[in-house]
Amino acid sequence: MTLLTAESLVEPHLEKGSILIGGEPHVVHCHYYNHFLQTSIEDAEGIYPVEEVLVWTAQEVAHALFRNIFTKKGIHDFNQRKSLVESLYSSCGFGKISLQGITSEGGEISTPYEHYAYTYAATFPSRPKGKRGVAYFSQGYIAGAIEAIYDLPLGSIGSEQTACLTQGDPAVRWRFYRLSHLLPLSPSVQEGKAQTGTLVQPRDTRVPMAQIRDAVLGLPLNPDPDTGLIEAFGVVLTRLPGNYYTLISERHFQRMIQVVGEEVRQVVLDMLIESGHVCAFNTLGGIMQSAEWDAVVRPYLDTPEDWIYGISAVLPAIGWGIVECSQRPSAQAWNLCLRNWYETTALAALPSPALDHSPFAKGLFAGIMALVYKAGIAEKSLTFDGVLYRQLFQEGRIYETEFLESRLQGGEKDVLRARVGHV
Amino acid sequence: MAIWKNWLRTFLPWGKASGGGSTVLVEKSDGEGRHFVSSIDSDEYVLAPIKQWVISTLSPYAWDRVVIRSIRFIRDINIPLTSLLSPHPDTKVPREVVHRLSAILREMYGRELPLHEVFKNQIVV
Repeated sequence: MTLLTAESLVEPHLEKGSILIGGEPHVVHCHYYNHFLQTSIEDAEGIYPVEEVLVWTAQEVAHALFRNIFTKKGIHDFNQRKSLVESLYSSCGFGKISLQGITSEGGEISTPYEHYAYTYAATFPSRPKGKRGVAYFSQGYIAGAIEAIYDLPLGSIGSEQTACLTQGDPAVRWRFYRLSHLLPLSPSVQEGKAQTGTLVQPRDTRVPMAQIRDAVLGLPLNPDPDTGLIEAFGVVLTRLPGNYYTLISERHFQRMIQVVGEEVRQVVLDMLIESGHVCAFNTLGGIMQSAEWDAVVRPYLDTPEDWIYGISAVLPAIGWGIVECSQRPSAQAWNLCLRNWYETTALAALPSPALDHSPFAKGLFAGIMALVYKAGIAEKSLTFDGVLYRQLFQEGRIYETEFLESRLQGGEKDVLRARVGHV
Repeated sequence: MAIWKNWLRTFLPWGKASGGGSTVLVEKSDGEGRHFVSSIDSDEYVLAPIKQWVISTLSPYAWDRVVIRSIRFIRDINIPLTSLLSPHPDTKVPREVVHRLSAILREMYGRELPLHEVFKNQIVV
């Protein structure tokens, strides 16, 4: 029997700027982004059943992912399948689980280490009893994995979270059970409308784009062996299926407009854009002040623009797609082109997406400009706190991003301009 | 404690909850004909200062979150969503709305609206 490790399932695709596991694109994000996006959606719990978005989407993705792996690798033994799910769960930084007690009829799983619950409990006060726990993603992910393990059709396992660290419980606990009728789930879009591109080497910098991308790809994102959580760059990271983020954003946007009406469109979009600010600030800010950055990228950074090039080279290595800078950036504007941007690529595979551009990208690239040109990350060490966040994205916000071309509106690529604007 | 646990806390002033109190509305004059709210217990409240307090005290995105959380309630009492999201200086809402918003803030951020603080330097419309 060949021992299959979770790490051996990770397939970087340089020509796409993506990282596939079981045919599903995976992207690196931090707990701040994860919580911000999830909480923005959870706020709508009185408007529509948010579990249908937050749990079911994870179930769809995990079902496809593990079916692909089991089929491709010829893994038929249930125990081997379980052990691979447990291993991948930890390897991606979701925490630690044991599927020992699970059968094709379901069962219970309990763990003190789950990414969302653990980081939430460490940051926020306890949620009131009666309110459900925050481990939506894992709940759906495990339900989809159980279906794949037992060759059950998508939507045949129901689930509920019955305890959570965020309510003072010592562990997160879920219950899984066979349903008599299938849940109305859709198969994952997997690679979506994937496209290829080239990581362009700008002539006006000595930042070696491909070398940085490759070095970051080679950095180990190892989970703590005891917790299955990945602490790096001053945050807690996950390598989560990109389709999950994209589809929960899209479905939330759709459901809100359906239930509340067009009047809610802008406020939902604003929250999705804000998630990009949160991500730039925490994940990318953390990377740009890390020891790894100092070792791999910093020796090539002469100007603030080099910082923009440097972080652009990192993005394909964390699975987000390929960023081309079509002109030298400046403090006034940064024109860029995105190939295979993970959010766009997934949305483009849907029959009629409600989102016609990537709101996450809008917030993200304005956020990078703010870090480099407003906060001055090239000149000084920053403290990523609420005060700085307000200076960059609230009272002191000066950057915004516009889409000049979008693949979701018929364009061949995403073309954006992040610039000083009226915000 | 790892660094990652810290900065979101700066948005969350736990343990500093303060209610508006059950005081009566008192207006003070500054001698130049302008009237200021001194303390609060009114049937209607001007919304803009409440939004401003929420944004500046809690978090930049707290107001949108609060409004989304109260959409069902708002629709039941026929207040346009846009009026809540971007209130004009003279947009007023009934006391029940303010109490509802305050309850939501308590659940989300552990803090209620301190109406006295919010309105203490406001000119009465």
